[in-house]
Amino acid sequence: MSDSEQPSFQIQLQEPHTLIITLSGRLDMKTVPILWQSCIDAQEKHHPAQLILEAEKVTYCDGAGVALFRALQKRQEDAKATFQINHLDPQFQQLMQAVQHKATAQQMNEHEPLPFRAGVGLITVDMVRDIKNNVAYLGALSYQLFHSLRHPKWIRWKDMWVAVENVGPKAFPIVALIGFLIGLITTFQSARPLGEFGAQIYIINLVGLGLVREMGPLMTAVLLAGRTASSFAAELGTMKINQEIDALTTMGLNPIRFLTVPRILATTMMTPFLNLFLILFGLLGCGVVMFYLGYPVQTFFKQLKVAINFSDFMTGFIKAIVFGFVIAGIGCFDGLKTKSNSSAVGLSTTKAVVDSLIMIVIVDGIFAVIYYVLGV
Amino acid sequence: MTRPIIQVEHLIAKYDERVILDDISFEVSSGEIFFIVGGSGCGKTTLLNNMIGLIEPAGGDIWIDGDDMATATYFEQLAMLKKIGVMYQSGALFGSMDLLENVRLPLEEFTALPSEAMDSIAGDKLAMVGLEGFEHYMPSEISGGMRKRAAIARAMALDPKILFLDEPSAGLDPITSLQLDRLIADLSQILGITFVIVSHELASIDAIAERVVMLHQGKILAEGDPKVLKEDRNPLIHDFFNRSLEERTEV
Repeated sequence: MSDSEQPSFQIQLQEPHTLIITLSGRLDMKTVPILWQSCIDAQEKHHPAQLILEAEKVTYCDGAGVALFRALQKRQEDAKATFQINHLDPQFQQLMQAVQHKATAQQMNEHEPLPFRAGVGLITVDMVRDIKNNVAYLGALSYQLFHSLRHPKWIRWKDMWVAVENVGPKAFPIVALIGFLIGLITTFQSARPLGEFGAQIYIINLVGLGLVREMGPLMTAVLLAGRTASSFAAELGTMKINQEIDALTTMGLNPIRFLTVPRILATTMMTPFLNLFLILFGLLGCGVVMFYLGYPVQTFFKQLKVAINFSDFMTGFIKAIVFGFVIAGIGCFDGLKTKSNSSAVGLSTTKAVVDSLIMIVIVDGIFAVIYYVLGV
Repeated sequence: MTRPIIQVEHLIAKYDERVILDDISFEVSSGEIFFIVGGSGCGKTTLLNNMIGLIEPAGGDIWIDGDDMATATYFEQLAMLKKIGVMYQSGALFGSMDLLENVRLPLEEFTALPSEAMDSIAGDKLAMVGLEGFEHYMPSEISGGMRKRAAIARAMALDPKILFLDEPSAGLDPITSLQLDRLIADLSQILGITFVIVSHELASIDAIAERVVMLHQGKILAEGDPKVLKEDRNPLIHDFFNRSLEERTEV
């Protein structure tokens, strides 16, 4: 960079309240950062009623230089003071004008912030609309499910078996692993405290009953919320963005019957089986630790038989069926609601997982109350 | 002039309170290749979505082959949808099905034909759009132009009277776009299908459009033969159809 291109600035204060900043050299991405803060500081220190930029010696000016001019100008305008650029080369003036046009257009497009009451109103309207959509979806889903079960030929069996494979066998390894580890860890954690009371044998009751009634269905549901609900939401969301859902609608095919019913049936069918596998592998984990603690296999099974009865098993089994229905329903619903932008699928997927987890806990709470009242 | 197969009367479309289409009325004759044109954001796709029943109009009527789409009940609309086929901008083929299965789908759902007949019809439709031999390709394995042709084949599966095409040439190279235009012209001539095409591709308009309606800011700015509209003195119409940009103030 030659001497004439070196950026520099001089400040001159003229009465009454006029500040002249003389700029020279290149004003580009490299040099403007050096000048920026000094110019702003000078302006803020003197609060001039008039700011004049002398730009005769500016040899080059790009977007960064214009940004500096605009920053100074905006501060003057905000302070209801005047701003003037003198002797700026015409080619740089054009650049400045182009940016000013854009800025004016931007200002015109900027919306006034909404008053608080209007904001609350809009949120309420959105919430009511959401509730209406949810109720409409539930109604449509119930109708389509009922209709499909009455007319099984309407069910897309091929799609359902694909969903069955994805929800069931493909989830088996993770379900088995988590089940085994839960059984193993719970047994280890309980061994010492119960051992102090000579009650280690009751670990089998604790783990067995806990897995069958609560941990089995709950952990299966949590795994499916992360795996299946997200997958359904992403799949259907992508179809929405690719206009495949619109294509179905304009073909006269109901997307709920076509896409949601097979997935819900598949998940509702597979969740109890996955729950069963999680329980079995949990008990295996428990059995391994109990064997290590010196309890023979026969004792383990004998104690398990005492601890768990058929009604315990059924409480967990029914819960798993309902969890499966809820998870698939929410996953598909959030998928179908996906908006048409690039981040929408990610948002739907996240929402499906969060909504599923919340609903699982709520439904679990409802079951707890029902089972308590029924005395099972 | 043949009888109108589509009549749009005083159509109003809104998103929330924002008016997108304001009192739109026009007719499309049977067998015609009709273009809906206009700049980006003028309401073309909204108009199409109203016509194919994806959006409920805020006002007005849309008569499709004698039935009013705007006031039809859900089940009446289902019956009406069988008279039309739609090709979306992206093709919207189902990614989990091969091309034959995609075209077979409407046949499976709405006819009691034996499987062999469905395969035969689906194969014929694919052949008609030049995709013979690609029946068992997945949508992800073919080019954008082929996907659009396959989407046209699927839209024709039930032999509809009207085909709606949303931006058929978007994202295609000029040669592929020209091939698609020829396909549309051939199908119109051979099968007598009415085409309603949303587009702003001047080359396609020049090549195959018989009549156009031009939208601007949600209203109809012009309607008629594109060759005549090229000579229109309204600068907005003149600039659009001649791809020129003259200094003017907004009309």
